[in-house]
Amino acid sequence: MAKLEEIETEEHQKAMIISKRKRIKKKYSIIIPTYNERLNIGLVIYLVFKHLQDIDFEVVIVDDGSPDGTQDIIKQLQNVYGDDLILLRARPKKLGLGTAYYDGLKHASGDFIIIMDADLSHHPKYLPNFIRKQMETGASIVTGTRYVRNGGIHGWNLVRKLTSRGANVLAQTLLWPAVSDLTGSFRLYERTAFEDVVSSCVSKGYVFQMEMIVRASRKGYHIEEVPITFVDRVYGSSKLGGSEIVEYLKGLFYLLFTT
Amino acid sequence: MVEKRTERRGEDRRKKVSVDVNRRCKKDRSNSLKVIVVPTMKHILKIMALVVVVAGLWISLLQTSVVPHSYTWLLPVYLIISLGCYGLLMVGIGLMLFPTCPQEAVLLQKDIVEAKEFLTSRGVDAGS
Repeated sequence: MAKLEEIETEEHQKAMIISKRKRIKKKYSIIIPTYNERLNIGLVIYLVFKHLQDIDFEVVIVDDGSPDGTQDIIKQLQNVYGDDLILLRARPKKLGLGTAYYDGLKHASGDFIIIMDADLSHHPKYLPNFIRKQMETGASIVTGTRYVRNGGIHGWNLVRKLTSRGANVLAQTLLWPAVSDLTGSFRLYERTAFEDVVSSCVSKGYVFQMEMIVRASRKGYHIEEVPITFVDRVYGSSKLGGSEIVEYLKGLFYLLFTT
Repeated sequence: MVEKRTERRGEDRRKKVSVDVNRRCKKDRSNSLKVIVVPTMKHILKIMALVVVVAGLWISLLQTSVVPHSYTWLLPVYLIISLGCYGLLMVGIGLMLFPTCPQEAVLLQKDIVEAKEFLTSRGVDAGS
């Protein structure tokens, strides 16, 4: 009789430990806005699943009515990986990056929100680094930085590097942000922090990313950085023209006067 | 009257929140909650404060004539020029030490090949 009681309490203790682990285990929602990423999205999803083996996560893809059939590819991926892990939020047309994140957030059920690009410039192999950094430091926001020693950028010519460096120095002088890479869009946010900051941002495009991190910095959130490498567009084209520079400067001065 | 500094993450740590829970007020029977929030200084105000301090120093230098007047009048110009030079220096240094990662492109190509094999084997159209 004594032995039976021992076994019962042991089982009970094991059940307690397992349920406690489940409660502590955090879920990560990866939001990926896409537009005409038919060639890249499958590769990104494969790499995400390859590098996040023991993590509870889901991928929310927000597609702005891509004419090249991105959504068909996503549906095929849902057949392979399960439509509880890949969620598709289809929108009728290009409605902007900020609203894409907001829409993705409404469909996401994770405790943490990770944002990344779908064009393979952000490699999913850094996702465990983000998660580990957040767990070690308890930060509210972990942002990827390309401008540090262990990070890097490949595929930029000298002019591009010059404009990037000049833009960075200007932003650092004017805004005193807590991060070294303002325009990066490979980030991990705590859900509460994300909801708080995204509702107060109004910019479009990459200026939106700058606004997010500057507003978060002003509100006093704990921000940490992780080095990432950035390989510029494998398929497709990436442009930096005069209009982008003007947009950037306008965004910079907007942030200077309103944050 | 309870004054507490909000320690919740995400709240601006410099905000002071005064909470006045009025349970026994004779005039007002309902539980009233007054919250007074002091906003933080905007960034532009910090910069303007800095400019004011520097301007004050410059004016005091003019008044006390420790340094000859011809130099003093030109000090702001020198300051701006040196700021510009510092900026250019930072850009130049950054450009020289710009981190690149050519090996990452090679690794990425390998990953792409691996991914394409897997996806075509599972019936996902991954052709270019």
